Amino acid sequence: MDILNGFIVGIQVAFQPTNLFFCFIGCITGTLVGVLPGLGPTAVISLLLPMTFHLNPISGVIMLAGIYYGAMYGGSTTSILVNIPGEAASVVTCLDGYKMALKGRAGPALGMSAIGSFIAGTVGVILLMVMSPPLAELALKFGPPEYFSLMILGLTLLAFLSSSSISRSMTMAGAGLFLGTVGLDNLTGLPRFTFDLSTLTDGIDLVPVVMGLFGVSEVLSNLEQHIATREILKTKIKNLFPSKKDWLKVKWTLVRGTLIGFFLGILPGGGAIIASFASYAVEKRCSKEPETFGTGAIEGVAGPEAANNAAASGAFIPMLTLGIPANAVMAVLLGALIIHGVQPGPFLIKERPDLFWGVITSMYVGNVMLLFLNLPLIGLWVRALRVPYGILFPLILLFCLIGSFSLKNNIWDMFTMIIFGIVGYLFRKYKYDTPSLVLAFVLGPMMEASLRRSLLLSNGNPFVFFQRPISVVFLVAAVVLVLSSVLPGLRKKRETIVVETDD
Amino acid sequence: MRKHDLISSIVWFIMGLSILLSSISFGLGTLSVPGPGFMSFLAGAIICVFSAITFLGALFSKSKEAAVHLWAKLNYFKLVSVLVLLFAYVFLIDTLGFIISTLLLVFLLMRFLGSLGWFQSLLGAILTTTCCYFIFDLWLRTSLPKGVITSWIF
Repeated sequence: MDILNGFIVGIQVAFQPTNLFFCFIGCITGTLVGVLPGLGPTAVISLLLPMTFHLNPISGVIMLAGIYYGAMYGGSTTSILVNIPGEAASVVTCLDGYKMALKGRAGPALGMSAIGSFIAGTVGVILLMVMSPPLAELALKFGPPEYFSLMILGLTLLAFLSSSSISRSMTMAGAGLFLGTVGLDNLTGLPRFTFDLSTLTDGIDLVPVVMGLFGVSEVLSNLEQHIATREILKTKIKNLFPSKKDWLKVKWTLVRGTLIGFFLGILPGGGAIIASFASYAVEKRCSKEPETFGTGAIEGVAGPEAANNAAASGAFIPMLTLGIPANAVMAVLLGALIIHGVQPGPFLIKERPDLFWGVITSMYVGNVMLLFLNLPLIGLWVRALRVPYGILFPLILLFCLIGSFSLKNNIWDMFTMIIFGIVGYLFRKYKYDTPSLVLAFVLGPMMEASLRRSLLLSNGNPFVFFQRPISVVFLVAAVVLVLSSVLPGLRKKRETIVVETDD
Repeated sequence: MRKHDLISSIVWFIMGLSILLSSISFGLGTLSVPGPGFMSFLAGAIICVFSAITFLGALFSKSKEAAVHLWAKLNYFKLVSVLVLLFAYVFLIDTLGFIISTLLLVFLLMRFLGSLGWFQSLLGAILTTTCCYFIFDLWLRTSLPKGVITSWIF
């Protein structure tokens, strides 16, 4: 099926009233999640995952996807008005966005970030549409050895791009791989690391792990400090539509931001956070007046906001075409699809065109909804910012508890969730990178399966990974990455790309 | 961060080593036919190697940054009480049932850790519990625990 036919199918699916409704719910929830600091899209998507069990998989994924890209819109509002990133991918927007607001230009800053997000989001979805089918076609040629090598490359890339040092994020990847092995061995039925606990025989579920690591640990880190009340800039928000001068300034910024974001989004571990940082760095370098950056330059808002939205679209590519998630949010979405009985991968476009094209088309629709939600209704979100943390955090904790319980109606899942909350809190303290763990945790069992299948196919020849060209390319790339991070000269370069971020 | 890196990497190394050793008992298999312990052995090995690198890096680090106090000036009271409340919730939900334990949890969190007023906290707890009960139990049919006490009454 070519892209045009696919798009037609997509329109039929995305414009069904139910799907429009859930797309809208997703966008609203996403914006809210983005606006409220201390609540990231990963935690919320896993929180709402059990709710989607009662929907059909298409509506469910449309809603969850809406939360993800919606959060990218909302995050900038908090950055601009409060100087606190509402969401990790909007950290850089604080630098110039808040300064613009201080100068009384809160309106154009908010307007530019919403319109920039819209343009980048829409272009990102178009690129996603154009690039997915050929990639899936290519992926059809992949056998188990290629998948295995690709996942090795993915994990290395993740460690390479992560915010903490490579040795730390590799340690976390190791821990994730280990967690993936807990439970009965698929092939032999041997219990591994179950400590004779019946809850552990089925393995550890993704949802309580993610909710603990991203939801509860965030609350714990916020509570340990003596909370100061957030100060929202008291300013009149006017002139939401940026001036002609502003537009001329950001014309190429938007193009560059979109492209950087989209391609970094595809890479495992790249994602929206790094994309926004990279775009800011590039804009500063391309600018004729780099000294204005940090004092309220509109390019410093437009670039990163375009980049994080384009990255959110790009991240769907590896998940939908290869079945390999690029970041923690995609890992949860992948989990959601599998629970619904849909196996993402190269066959998805052919087997479930309604789902594939429906979800992508809904992202166009969602971007239009988000533009309206974020421009005329901006006042509403500013009001949401005034909700005190004393009300928010009990709700976050409660949703995490109910969410992990409702997955299997198992009380011990709540227990697991709290334990991972404590563990995640310690990770934050000691600066270990949680997304590496989550991704390795999801990829681990897939890697084990593809390793065994490869060896079965090759009659137990362990060198099969080096005998197939595509697989060799992936492995060589992984080795180069590891080596480059060890070599001192290149290490410096990496450190300038990767800016210290908190998740 | 140096001292903390040394501590955290030692903890990781010990964990990696114990994973590695227990994997051997599951059976590693051969390179041609990996056994059930192969993957976790690999995971343990990765943890050991990279925590050792972190350890060495911190040991020989020459940076003269000021000592970072991770555990100073924290609000321990809040941290510990949240955890106690969460664990209590999990252990009591089967006996007290969803409604009573959630009312208690949300009320205590809002009143004593979120510093809201008595009335606000009470209202918050009742509203939250009611909404959750309607959404999760009645609409999504999650069959939240009824609790021993509720079953006596009805």
